Amino acid sequence: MIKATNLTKQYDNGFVAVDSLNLQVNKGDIYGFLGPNGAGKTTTIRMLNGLIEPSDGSVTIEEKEVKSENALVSKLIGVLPESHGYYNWMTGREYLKLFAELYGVDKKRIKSRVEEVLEWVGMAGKADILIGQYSRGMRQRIGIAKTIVHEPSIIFLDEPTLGLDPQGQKDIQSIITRLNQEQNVTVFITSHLLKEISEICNRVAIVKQGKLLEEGYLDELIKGYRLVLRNENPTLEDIFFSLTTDEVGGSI
Amino acid sequence: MSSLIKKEIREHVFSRKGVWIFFAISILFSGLTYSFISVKELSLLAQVEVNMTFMKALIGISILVSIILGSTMVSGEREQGTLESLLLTPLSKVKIILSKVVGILVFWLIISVISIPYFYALTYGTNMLLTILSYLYLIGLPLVISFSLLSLAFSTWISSSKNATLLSIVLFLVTAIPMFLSTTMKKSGFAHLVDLLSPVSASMLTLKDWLVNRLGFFFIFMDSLPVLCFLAISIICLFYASKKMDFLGGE
Amino acid sequence: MLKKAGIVLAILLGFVVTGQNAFAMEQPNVEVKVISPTQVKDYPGKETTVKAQITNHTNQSIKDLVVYITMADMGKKWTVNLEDYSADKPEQVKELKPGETKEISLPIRFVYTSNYYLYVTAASTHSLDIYSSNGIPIDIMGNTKINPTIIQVVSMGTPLIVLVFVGLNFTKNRRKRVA
Repeated sequence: MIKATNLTKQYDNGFVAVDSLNLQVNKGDIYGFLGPNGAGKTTTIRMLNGLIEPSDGSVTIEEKEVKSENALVSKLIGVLPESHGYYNWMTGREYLKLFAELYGVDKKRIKSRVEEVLEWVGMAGKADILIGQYSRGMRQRIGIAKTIVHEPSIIFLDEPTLGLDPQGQKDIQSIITRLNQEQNVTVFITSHLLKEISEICNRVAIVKQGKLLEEGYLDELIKGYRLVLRNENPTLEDIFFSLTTDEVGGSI
Repeated sequence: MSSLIKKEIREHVFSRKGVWIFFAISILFSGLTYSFISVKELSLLAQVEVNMTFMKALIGISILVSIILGSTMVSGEREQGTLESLLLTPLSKVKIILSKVVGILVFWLIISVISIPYFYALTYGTNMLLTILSYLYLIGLPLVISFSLLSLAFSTWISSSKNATLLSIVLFLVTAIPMFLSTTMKKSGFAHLVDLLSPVSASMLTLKDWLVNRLGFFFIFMDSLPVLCFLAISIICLFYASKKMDFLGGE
Repeated sequence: MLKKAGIVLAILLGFVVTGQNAFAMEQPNVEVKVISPTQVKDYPGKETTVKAQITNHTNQSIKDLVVYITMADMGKKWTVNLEDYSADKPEQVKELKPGETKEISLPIRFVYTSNYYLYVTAASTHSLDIYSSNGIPIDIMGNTKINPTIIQVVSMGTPLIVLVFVGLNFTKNRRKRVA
């Protein structure tokens, strides 16, 4: 469904943020994209959704090539960026209505669709309050609502639980899981929170300094690293630290 | 695109800040208009000169307000983190920019509507009102829009709202320099060159030739050529700026 | 006797010299005369073209003359900024031959109410002398077309109407706030 081939981003000063990345996300996956700070996660996600041009390589989403200003691809995907701002002078409902219109949702359906997503994220009772008055958790819920209002088949979530309290993190994780299971939405999620990724993702990729160190289904990775780590039940955390500190790479 | 236009109008025109700006402008206009009957020197002025003075004030205020508005539109979105979401929608960058242009245009149109009762009062007893309004919308509007487009372009190129606003104001001041210089200074050298090329000077000359000297269409058109050229340049600048409206990478 | 004759001769010579000077004062080297208008009494905005004749009474050519309007505001006892009156563009006369008369046209637009004296003045780059016409009286009367009542109504009413919109906008936005 998402296929990145030899994806590279090099800046004018020679710095390589992403180096020959190859990854594949299948339909129905909750794909965790892990890495320490500065690993190139946000740059990768921006290349995947067409916000920035790669220096080399290509990205296809549902076999359509992702380019800057590609309206067709824009309608297939929903994105919740990491540093996501809101129009604080709008209510939650107005905000969702705006983006429903911008994404071309059928005018007759907009009202019902907005109510639907508000229910989904548990914000139906707070939809007529100004976003400026929302807590961080409420903003993230509205952000996710905006991401799915146009019924995309794939959503990109860049650090969706950053800055949330444990309950808030749990709520967001629950929404993501429900979206995947009930609405069959493919989720591409970046995070540096290993516990979160291990709880909700079925497939992970681990990057460091722009390079892909490991990729695969989580349960297969865990099985495969038993021997390597000499641990009967290695956790994702164990695998992550072994890769990012030892720079041991390999695919399973 | 119409949804985005409505959003821009709600955000900038009918916001709390926007309506207070309209109120402040109406107070300014009232002060100026009232001074034409209360201040002895101004009350002795010919009615054409009264309207010319008011028109100059209107255009000056409009340009300043519009460039401050335009210079914060894109950089402001970038600073508050909403630009990324807009760029991810199916709308093209040109359409996103155009919706902001429409927002500025609506803002200015409301200012021009507020000025109409004042012009009615100041042209009372003459048949000047139609000429005044024609000048306002045929020359004043392109001039104000040109500055707005350039400030919008600066806002797109420069990440900081403050720097974009500063640059826009400097541009306006440079083009308005001839208004502050004496006739002698404007006759030669750099001041003369700026006076020839400046769209602000050209608009003032057009105003004088249209209202005072009552020249024909050809002369008015020739006088206003720098204004039209400036409009064309600002449209080109904005078009190129819209293509540069993006993110570098992981910032 | 001789002394008396000398005194008489000196007196006669004095008359001759002063007579010549008097003659010179009666007819200047360059004469500037305003032909039209002879006077103006009108409202602000009045435009006219001042026609003047400039005559060279000398026996030599006068070159590079600059002819321009000067005005004195006798009502306010002030000088006048000719640019405001669109009268800041002088005419140039390259050469005025001996005995030649040239006609000059200088446009002006009277913008302020007051009483003025208007002169046409000529100066040459080759001489420090200045030549001026007699003044013509200009009386610009007060403008009566602006209605002060309408001005007052508009000046007070328009901000009030805008304020109503401000209030409506504020009320509409206030409803969205949390109780």
